[in-house]
Amino acid sequence: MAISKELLEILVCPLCKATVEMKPNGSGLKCVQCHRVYPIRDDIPVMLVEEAKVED
Amino acid sequence: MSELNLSVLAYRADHFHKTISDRTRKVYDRVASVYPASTFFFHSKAHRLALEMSEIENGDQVLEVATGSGEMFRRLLKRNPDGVNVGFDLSPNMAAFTERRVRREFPDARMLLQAVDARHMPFRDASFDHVVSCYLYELLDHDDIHKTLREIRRVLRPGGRLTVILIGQNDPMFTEGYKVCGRLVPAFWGRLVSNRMPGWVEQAGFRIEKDRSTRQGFYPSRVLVAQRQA
Repeated sequence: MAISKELLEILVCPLCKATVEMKPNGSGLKCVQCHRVYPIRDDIPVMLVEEAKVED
Repeated sequence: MSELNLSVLAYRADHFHKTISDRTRKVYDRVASVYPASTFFFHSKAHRLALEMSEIENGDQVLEVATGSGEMFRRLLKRNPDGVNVGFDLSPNMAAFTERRVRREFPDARMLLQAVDARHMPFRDASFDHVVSCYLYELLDHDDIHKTLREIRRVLRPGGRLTVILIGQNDPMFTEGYKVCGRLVPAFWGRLVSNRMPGWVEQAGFRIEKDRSTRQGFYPSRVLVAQRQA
């Protein structure tokens, strides 16, 4: 899924409020601080802490 | 409606406080495809009034909290075609349903729909000129209303506006009927809060600028517009 730069700029991690970055394969948004990955399903970023997985 | 799981709907009112968020998500995940009908019959007049009162201008950055099946979000896209429109719902199914629906109608819109818990919003401070939320607070407990209002204040720029639609409490018969529904299926109906909301909104750092009531058939609504104080 593609999210425009202007929209990505206002998004942060819902937990620690740090910047999130799109994963190279477009499967989720990863927090640069806590490394939680929020999945993108059906073109919807699921920004729910309980749905996120911590990745190294 | 045939796929509704009644064990999820029929939940005891005394469990409301602890479980409303999770239960509400499950209920709204199940009713995503049939929800637009109720919105059309009961909410459309209040949506029009709220939009007129909100003073949203084309080019603004607008957030809708709890988009449901997207009736208000479609109106926002029409009013603000050159701006940025962001919306979210706690239910991923509802958000996905709305995304598909509005994307067909507005393929080139600068918009983003997400699944988000209103108590923990994934947006930078002061990202939006306007925040809109319709028929949400009835479903949140007292603590969650305050957490949500604090988050809305955080993501609104100073001087930005919050427009809220609530179910009205100015019809005693409707109010009594709603109480019964709320006891039977709290995760879907919640309870009425519009008499207390102006005080809570001001407590959260807003000033109420406009307050109007409307009615669609037997269904009363109340619209508040509040400005975020610096």
